[in-house]
Amino acid sequence: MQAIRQIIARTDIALVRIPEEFGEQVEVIILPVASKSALSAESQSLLGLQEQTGFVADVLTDEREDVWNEL
Amino acid sequence: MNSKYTGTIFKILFPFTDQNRSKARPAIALTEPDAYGDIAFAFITTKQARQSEHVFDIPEGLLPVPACTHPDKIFRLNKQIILKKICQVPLDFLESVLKKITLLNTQRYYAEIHQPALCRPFIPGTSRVNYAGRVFDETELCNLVDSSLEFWLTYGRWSKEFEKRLADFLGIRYAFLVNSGSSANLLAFMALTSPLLKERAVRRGDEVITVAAGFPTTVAPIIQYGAVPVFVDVDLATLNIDVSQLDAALSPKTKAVMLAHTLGNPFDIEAVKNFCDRHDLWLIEDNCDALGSKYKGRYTGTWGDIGTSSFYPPHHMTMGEGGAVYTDNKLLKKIILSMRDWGRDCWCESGKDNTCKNRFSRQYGTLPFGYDHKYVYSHFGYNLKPSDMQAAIGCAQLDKLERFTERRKENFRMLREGLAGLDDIFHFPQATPGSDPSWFGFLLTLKDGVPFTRNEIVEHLEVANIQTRNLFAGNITRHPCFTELEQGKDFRITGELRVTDKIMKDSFWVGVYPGMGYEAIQYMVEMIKSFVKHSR
Repeated sequence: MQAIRQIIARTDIALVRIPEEFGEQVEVIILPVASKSALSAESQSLLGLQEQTGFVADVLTDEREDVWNEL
Repeated sequence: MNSKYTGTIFKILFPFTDQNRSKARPAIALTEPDAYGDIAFAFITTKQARQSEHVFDIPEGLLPVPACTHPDKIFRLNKQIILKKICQVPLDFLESVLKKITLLNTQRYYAEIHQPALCRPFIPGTSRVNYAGRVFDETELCNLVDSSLEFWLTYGRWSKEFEKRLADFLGIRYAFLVNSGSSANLLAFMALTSPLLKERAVRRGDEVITVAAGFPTTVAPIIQYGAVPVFVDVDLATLNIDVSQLDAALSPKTKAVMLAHTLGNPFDIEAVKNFCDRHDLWLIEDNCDALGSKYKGRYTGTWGDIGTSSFYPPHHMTMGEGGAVYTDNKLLKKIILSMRDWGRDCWCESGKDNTCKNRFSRQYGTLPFGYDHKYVYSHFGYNLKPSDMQAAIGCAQLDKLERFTERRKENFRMLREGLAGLDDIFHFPQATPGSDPSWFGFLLTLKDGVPFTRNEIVEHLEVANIQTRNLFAGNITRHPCFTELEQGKDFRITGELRVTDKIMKDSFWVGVYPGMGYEAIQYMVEMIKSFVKHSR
């Protein structure tokens, strides 16, 4: 699925360029920028990629590791 | 530690892109943030997650549950993903983790850079057939990096470990590392000149029986000191001293015998040892080309009063530059240690003081009473110590020595079998009766009357990419360094050095080192045979 992810000023919503191949209608989800997460979309994507490593998937995601949530 | 981040355990947002902030995982920061705010992290998990041999247990008490970290799984994450600081790890723990990461990268470097070169398939005529070479794997490289990270540099823990393990391997009480095989010979000989040996000490003008067919630094220390080498001819089959001439070489001035086990083949130790015992002579075994060889079930180098080894790359094992001196004699041990370490009387290890507990409370010579023992000199010594990095490589090589020895024997056997039909052309080396040589090389000596010269066959082999070597100096007494010496005064020759001259003129050797495979040996056999066939 194609997606556009950008952090923009609240008043700049009209400036988002949507490719024609998205079709006549698009689904819009608007979220506030997390206060501590001022990372660019690219950085977010890279973080996402690291989440896909085998070690994250097999070890860090294991629910037995949730003991650290309240650290 | 002055670092703000490095060595700190942080609570990290998990999953990294989760906006809900419902979960978290701990991780150790291994770097400071770079220009982009990125930090290298090693994650910490419960011990239930232990899946790799590379994990390190987190010191007890730092975290609420037993945990370990995974230095083989490094993540580069932005500092904004940090939720909070938990604690700081001890410096020694951080050191272990950072060292592990460095060593894992070193292993990878070996696998990508060195291993492919070492495992390259043999292509006849194209691949170089070296006479010798270093054979190693990632362990040598990791030990070297490990000791470099410690940055102790001089004689240290690796050196001590190596000395102990070498002594254990040889079955001897004392082994000392030095910076080369030639230094080992120098130290071994000079130890015999110590006044502590009283009437048995070698004095200037005293004689030392040896051979001229060998490496110069077996003889050099004798001449440098002002003693007189007495050269005896060698036996063409074993390449070693002709023991039937020992009695003729003896004089009232004879104090010692100093001989190498030529190309790994032990000399007739029993005959030489009996001769030494009969005449109260010291015996130095130059074992530089023979580590791993045995005589009557016991390692060469351990039969005489002192043995020496070389760890230069072509030798039976290597540490780059390096050598060793070994003995069972407690007094010689004391002298060797003193002469290796500047001639000092003190035996404190590097960085330590007052091991004897009498540093300022003894009388030495005519010095003022209580003169600092650390700077009292009982010999005119040297500094022949190795670096700890060399010893670190040596420790890894020692583990491989028995395997190396077997390969040398096997390669020698294959060469000998392959050249079996050429007995009318070459004199082949024969193991000394009662010995089990770890051959350093395979020496071929042209028989009288063959239709080609040594240099002609050597050139043919070199062009075919087969490296050859003469038997070192051939006849050392014919070298320019002897020009200024006077026979009968500075050195003596017993009888004639007829076989020595024959070797000088007609011998060469090729390698049998453990880095050579079957294909290389067969190629050498083919090239030697084809040359002989076309020359007949």
